[in-house]
Amino acid sequence: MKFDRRAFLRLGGAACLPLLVPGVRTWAIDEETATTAALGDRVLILVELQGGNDGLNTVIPFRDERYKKLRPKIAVADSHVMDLGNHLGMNDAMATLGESWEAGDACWILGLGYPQPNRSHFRSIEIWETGSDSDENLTDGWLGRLIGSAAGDPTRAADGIVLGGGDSGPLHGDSTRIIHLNDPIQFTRQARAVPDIAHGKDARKALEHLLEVQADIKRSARVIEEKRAKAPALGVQFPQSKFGKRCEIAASLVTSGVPCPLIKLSHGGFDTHTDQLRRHPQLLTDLATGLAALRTALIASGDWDRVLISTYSEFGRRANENGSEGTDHGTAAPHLLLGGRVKGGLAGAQPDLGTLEKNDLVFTTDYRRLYATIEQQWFQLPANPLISRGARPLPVLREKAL
Amino acid sequence: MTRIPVLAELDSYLESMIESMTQSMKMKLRLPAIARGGWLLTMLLVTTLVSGQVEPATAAEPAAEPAVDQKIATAIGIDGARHLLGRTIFGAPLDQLQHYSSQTREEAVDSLLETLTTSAVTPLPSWASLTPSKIQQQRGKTAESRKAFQKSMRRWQGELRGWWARELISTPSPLTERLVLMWHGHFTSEMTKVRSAPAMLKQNQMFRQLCSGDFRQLLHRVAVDPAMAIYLDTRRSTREKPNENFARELLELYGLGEGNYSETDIQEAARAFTGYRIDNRTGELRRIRRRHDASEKTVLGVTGSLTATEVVDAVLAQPACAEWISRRFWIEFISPTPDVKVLKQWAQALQQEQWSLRALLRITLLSEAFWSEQNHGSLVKSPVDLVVGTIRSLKLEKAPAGQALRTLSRLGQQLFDPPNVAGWPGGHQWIDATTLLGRRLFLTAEIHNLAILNQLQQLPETDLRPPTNDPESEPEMMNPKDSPEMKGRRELPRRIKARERRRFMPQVLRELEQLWQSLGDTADARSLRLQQWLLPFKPVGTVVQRGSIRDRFGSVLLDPTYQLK
Repeated sequence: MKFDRRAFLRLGGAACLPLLVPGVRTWAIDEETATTAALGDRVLILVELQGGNDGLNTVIPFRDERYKKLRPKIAVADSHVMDLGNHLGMNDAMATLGESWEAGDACWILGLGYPQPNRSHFRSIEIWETGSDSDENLTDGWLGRLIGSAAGDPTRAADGIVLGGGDSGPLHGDSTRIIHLNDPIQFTRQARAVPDIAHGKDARKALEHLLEVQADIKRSARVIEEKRAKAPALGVQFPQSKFGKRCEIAASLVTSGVPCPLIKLSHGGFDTHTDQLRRHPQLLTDLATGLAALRTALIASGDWDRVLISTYSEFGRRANENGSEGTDHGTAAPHLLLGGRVKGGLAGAQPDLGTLEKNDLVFTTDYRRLYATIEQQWFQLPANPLISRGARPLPVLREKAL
Repeated sequence: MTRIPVLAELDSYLESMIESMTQSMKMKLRLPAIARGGWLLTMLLVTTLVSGQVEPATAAEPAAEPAVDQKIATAIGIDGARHLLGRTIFGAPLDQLQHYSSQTREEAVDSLLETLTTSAVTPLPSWASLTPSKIQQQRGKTAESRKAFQKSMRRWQGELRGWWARELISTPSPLTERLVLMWHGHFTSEMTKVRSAPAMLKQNQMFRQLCSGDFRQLLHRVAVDPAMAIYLDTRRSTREKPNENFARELLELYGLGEGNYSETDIQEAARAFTGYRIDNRTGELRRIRRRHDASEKTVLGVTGSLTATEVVDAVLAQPACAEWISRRFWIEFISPTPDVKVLKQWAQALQQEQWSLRALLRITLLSEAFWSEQNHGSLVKSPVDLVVGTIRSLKLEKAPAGQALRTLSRLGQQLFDPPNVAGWPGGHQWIDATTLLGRRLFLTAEIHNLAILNQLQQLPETDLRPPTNDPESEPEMMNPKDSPEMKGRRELPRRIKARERRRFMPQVLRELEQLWQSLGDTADARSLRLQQWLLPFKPVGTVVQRGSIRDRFGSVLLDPTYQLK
């Protein structure tokens, strides 16, 4: 899809009119109520593949001769490809997700990217996290904006929970309340010793931040403790990898009913400039086994229909391999959606290996179509030009659960 | 990497409407200020910020500001000393603070700069004397020997971390270590990827040697540093397939900053960095002619058959380079929001001073912005600031370095392993729910353990050695295990037995009580002095003046303001 910035500006200009006209405030208030109501008990679990996942060795155009020509040393052998149809296959390092694929609750969105791709880790992840154009700098994360006026709902444990390191990225916002945690039991125990200190706006920004974090700890710990006290055990074996443990905590938070609409997990190490055939499958295996266990736990607890899992990453990698049996920073890549309401299969279009731009894939699907899907179809919010930027949702979710 | 909010250029009515809309949605547009040419507006904004439209941090300060000259000529006082030492040498014991407090800004800064050195005092791990060929020999060629080598390499890595932690804690020149840490975060290499402890040590020593020297030399050395060549893949880059990793970071993070180069510059520079390999005999980086791309390239406007050296020179020739380094100094020592106008002045001065980093540090520390009341407590202490600073301030240096190391890692600053090539993001990001709780744990339970171990380790060795069959006495091993190096120096973290706690805690508390008594004549005076020594401004929580000695110190250390500098 071609994304027109001018069109957005016009759209945005029109949408802000009510705010500028004195007395016309109803629109904004409606919006607020709509956000709170619509988020409901739905949960979005974001999985950041840190470093830039190599899309071509994840969802593989294995029937395309050019794939093996571009990657004489690091192409995934046909024997390690699980056929997904449409001449595409999944790296069999992710075989544990086969069950989900068969059940039809896994969807690969192909060719996600944006025009004028930036190949810096930091800049490109910032683009993905803020939902900006390539040449535009925004401060808030796109989900921070999505949650917007509904942020800080005191009945929630937090607006977002970041598990096991990494920054709050897409969840970041002026008013969003984010907590980072490694271990919920330790967290609640230590939080009890923290004193309540009144806080508010302060010219001393660093102090203001500290006191906010301190208050968030108190509040979140209270809610998490209360919910977990009543929750039954998970009864699912999670892998002992770092990522597997994070998935386990995410599962325990969701199944115990800790109210929090956004959870972010990160999975690091995808910057495979070297030795990719050894490193990349291991990364994919960790990803797949962790997510598969998470899926099993959420199905068992009956929460699968209210959870949507989505991966994202700063970019895919260069189509041709480099001299060190790895790949350099690239552009478009596929991403995975999982959940009880996901319409399984392939969506979007696979970038053509015949029309590379400086050896890079050309994106086929603006990444904000994924955001539009989450905004309008998952959280059922009205299209907000500041979030989905006029992009159309993708047909990847079901009205009703399976 | 800090961005300053600026107003977008208003080129049409339509866009001006967007502007008000984004503002009303609390969405700030931000632009890397210089890059977008909108920096005039930025300056305006920053000037208003700095010139005090924002409420000053300490409202209690006298309203009438003395004239600038006079202010510079007078003694910095205890507040000034805490501010200066907190930001340059991780804080200090009270006597040192008092020593500096009677000096003027210039005297204090110059006597600090006099402490700068180029080498460490902690004895190096034993493997540091092995030659590169000897190390290659140890590595061997069989699968078995390699496995064994990997195991000892893991041990070496732990020893290297312990070595630096010890240096940070005990060095007579903490300012040098402060700069080494800064460059380690700027010219990042992660040991988890580099693996070679000797290469990481070599890099760390290189930073120590050049940390306050000539920046040009530093950048040239970084470009051919073996650990860096491993970390950013230069050693694998060939003429046929250049690897862009180092070239990109050289321009984006190390030398210029985003917006000051093009993608083509990166691709061309990457070709210049092809063919460099680590020589196994010398351990140095060497250019292999047949692997190197000697054809013509153009990087940042310089054309020729460029090599690494010439690309670094091209970077240094860019005006953005000196500004980028000035920015780093501002963010490290002053506040998260640099004043672009001042950076430009510093950049010019840096070049006039033959790129002397010592001169730039002096300029930074004597700048009005550094001393501005508004910037007191505007920086969040890094884990090293907090842990090493507390240990140094309370004189607990005898406690095992490994104990401190473990806390640093838990608080998000594993030495030799920044999270990614951009180094530790720092600032607000040091503090989240997990790390804030970890910091509190350090300031309660762990600090007591450190104090006990500090007592305990002053005893002769024979008094210490626990019976070997006592499982509780087994020191808690850090990764790597069995480090004779660190065990010999009693640097491993260890659990404290109940018996030891009973024996040493009273002494710890007695000494703390003595320290308390020395702070002043009345409880009020003592408490005030303690706060002046340790906190950047008034505490926000309740400070105890008359409770147990633990509470009197604890309530100050646990006040949120102690996390700031």
